[in-house]
Amino acid sequence: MRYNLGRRSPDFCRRTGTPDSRTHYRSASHRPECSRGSENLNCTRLGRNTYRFWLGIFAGLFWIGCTSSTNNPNGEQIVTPKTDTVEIRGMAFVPDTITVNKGDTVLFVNRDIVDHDVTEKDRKWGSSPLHTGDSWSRVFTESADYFCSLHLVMKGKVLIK
Amino acid sequence: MKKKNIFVALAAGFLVGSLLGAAPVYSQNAQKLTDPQIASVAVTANQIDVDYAAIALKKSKNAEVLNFAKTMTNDHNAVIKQAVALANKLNVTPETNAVTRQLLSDAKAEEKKLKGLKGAAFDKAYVDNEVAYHTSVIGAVETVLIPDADNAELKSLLQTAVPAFKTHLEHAKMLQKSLNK
Repeated sequence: MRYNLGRRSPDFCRRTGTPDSRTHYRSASHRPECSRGSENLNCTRLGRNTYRFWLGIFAGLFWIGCTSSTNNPNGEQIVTPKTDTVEIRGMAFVPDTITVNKGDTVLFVNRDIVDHDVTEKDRKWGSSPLHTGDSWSRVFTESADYFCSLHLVMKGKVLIK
Repeated sequence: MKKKNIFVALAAGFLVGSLLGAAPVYSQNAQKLTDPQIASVAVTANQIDVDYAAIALKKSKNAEVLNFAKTMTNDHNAVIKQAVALANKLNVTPETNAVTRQLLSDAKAEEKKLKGLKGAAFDKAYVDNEVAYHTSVIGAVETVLIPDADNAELKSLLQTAVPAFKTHLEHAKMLQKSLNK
């Protein structure tokens, strides 16, 4: 399809060159030399420059993904914090030792028939009594030993990788 | 072995024997406990420990003994609540029987003894009794009540309660060691 630039004055068209150069096509595929089935690369629907444009975009995105998503500026691996669960059942913490990444959350869920709590061994932190079905969570940045202050023989550990 | 320990051992043996003696032949036949009787024994045994704990909460000044007594109150009340809820669900009325009567009779004697003591003597007697009582209750539940229970949910409740009783026993033994120092 040929179309004029619409609002441009006839003088502008004269200044910019020959009548052929003043002719602008919607896309390369609309040029006369680009008949149906043409294998001329310049005749692709999007045109060569458009391909280069998108190729550059994807290459850039790929480079960003490869270089920035797994390491921080110090070169340390970045790990997305996650939540692990410790169930309290049968008068025990299950599992009684859990290994997590620094910054992970541990969710304690009471699935027993009696109340329990989660208390750091030196009582630096702890939950309130958890009834059946209650839960409590904590973000762990260092390893810790804990116990149930209602049932002193129930003990557990959180280890940081 | 000290006299008192012999007494405690005899008392424990008497309690176990009385529990077993109340239904002496645990065959599959006539003297097997029925589910209503088992429900009665389960509720009574738990209530007895709640009552012992109530005496300790009034008389003891020892923080560890008080903490233990509070746990006994909460835990055994939780088991009673579950047992009663199950009995209601199954439309079963707990049936007093020779075992429950023996339990109550023995408990009455023990309570009278505990009420006559104070201070460190009370703490020791209370904890020693808790060790003996939980030992006999665990034995009765595992060897009599669970095998005799016909209803699956009743059996499951008893099986769920056993770890709690065993934890109580461990806790009581730990307390017993610290009081004997």
